Amino acid sequence: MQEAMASGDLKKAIARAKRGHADAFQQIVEAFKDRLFAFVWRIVRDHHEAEDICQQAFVKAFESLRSYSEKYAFSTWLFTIAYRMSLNSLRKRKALSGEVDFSRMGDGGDDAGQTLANSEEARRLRTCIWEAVAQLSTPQKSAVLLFYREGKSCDEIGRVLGMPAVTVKSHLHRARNRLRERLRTELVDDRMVLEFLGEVHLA
Amino acid sequence: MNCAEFEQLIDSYLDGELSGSLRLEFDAHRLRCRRCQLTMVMMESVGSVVASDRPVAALSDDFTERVMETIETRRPWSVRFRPTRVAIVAGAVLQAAAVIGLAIWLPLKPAVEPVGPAENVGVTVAVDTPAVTPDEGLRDRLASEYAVQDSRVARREALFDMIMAKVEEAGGVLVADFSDLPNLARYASALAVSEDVARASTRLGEANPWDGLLRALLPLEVEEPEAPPAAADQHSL
Repeated sequence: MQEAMASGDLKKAIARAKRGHADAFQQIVEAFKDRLFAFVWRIVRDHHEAEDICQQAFVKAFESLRSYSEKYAFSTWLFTIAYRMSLNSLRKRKALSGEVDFSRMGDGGDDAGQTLANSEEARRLRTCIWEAVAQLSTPQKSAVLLFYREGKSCDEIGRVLGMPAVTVKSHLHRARNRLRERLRTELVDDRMVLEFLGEVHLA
Repeated sequence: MNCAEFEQLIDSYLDGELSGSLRLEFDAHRLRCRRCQLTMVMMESVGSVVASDRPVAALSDDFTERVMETIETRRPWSVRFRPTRVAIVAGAVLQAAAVIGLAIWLPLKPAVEPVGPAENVGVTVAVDTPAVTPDEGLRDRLASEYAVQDSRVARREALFDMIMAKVEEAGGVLVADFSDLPNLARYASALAVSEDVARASTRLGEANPWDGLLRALLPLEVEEPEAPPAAADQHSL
């Protein structure tokens, strides 16, 4: 996935923000806020919580900007901060309720405004996919989101999740297996979707 | 290749790691097996849905604003108000304050001010503050102020010399450190002067040692700083 900001502009903005220019950091916030929110929201599945985490992540990023090394993509660094905050938030939630409330994680794709596909079959398939993604463990889900949505390599995902690339690969592998099994179970009786998939494939 | 072997290779295929004859076997099985076709389409759909679906929820409109407000309030003072910016603002404020202060103070200051305690010994001190009207320009006012300052410094030096002379005249007993201004009045009161003069000197010295000594010890008008020795003859201890 391409940066919302041209690479050169981003470098300049980071350099200025490092010198304390708040207006430069505002450009960075504008460029990354939607992507970061989409990622965090998929992990915590709560709008206000996700927004709070994103806000804290940006503030933390600004305050720690001097420690950012341009050897790595800025988005990787930013997502690392947000991922750790998301994990903390999930842990707090788990500590309060005994366990993570997965019931809040269902029905991720019921947005009438989605533009991916508008047919009934496509909507059902999308809903099934997001439900299956929501059932993954947090590292698996994060790996899937960073891999497919952010286009990160296993090395970069490893930096975000704080684990070796080989572990990321393992998480991705297990995530795909779980998705495959779940989707197959969900869709086995859904002839409409299966036919849709068949048509997609033949097309 | 059977379905189980095919499924084991799906990951490698999706990651673009299949090549050569294995890729050929994979594609061949995919073409002839409808179940595996659907599996592959499902997995490719996962990729496209996750990659391009918009989030169900959206950020608040004022999100960026709130982030920036939080950043501003948490920034240390030294970062929020960088030294160069502070220096520029402070300089401008000081300049404005100086102009306003001079404009208010200079025209109102009397050319000759009576000295209360010195009335006891019939002394008045002329203060050579130039009369400046508000209509004069800033440069003129500043020049006048500098002249006043210079005059005061000169007068203070002259007073110092005169007081030292009086100390010696009193017998040279006192070795006073006149750099210690608050003690000047005390030294003066220890001189062989009349009681009321010493008291007046002490009292005035508490407010302004130099002026106190001047008014208590030197019953004369000091109009020109350059002429203190002549003036010294006119007072008595």
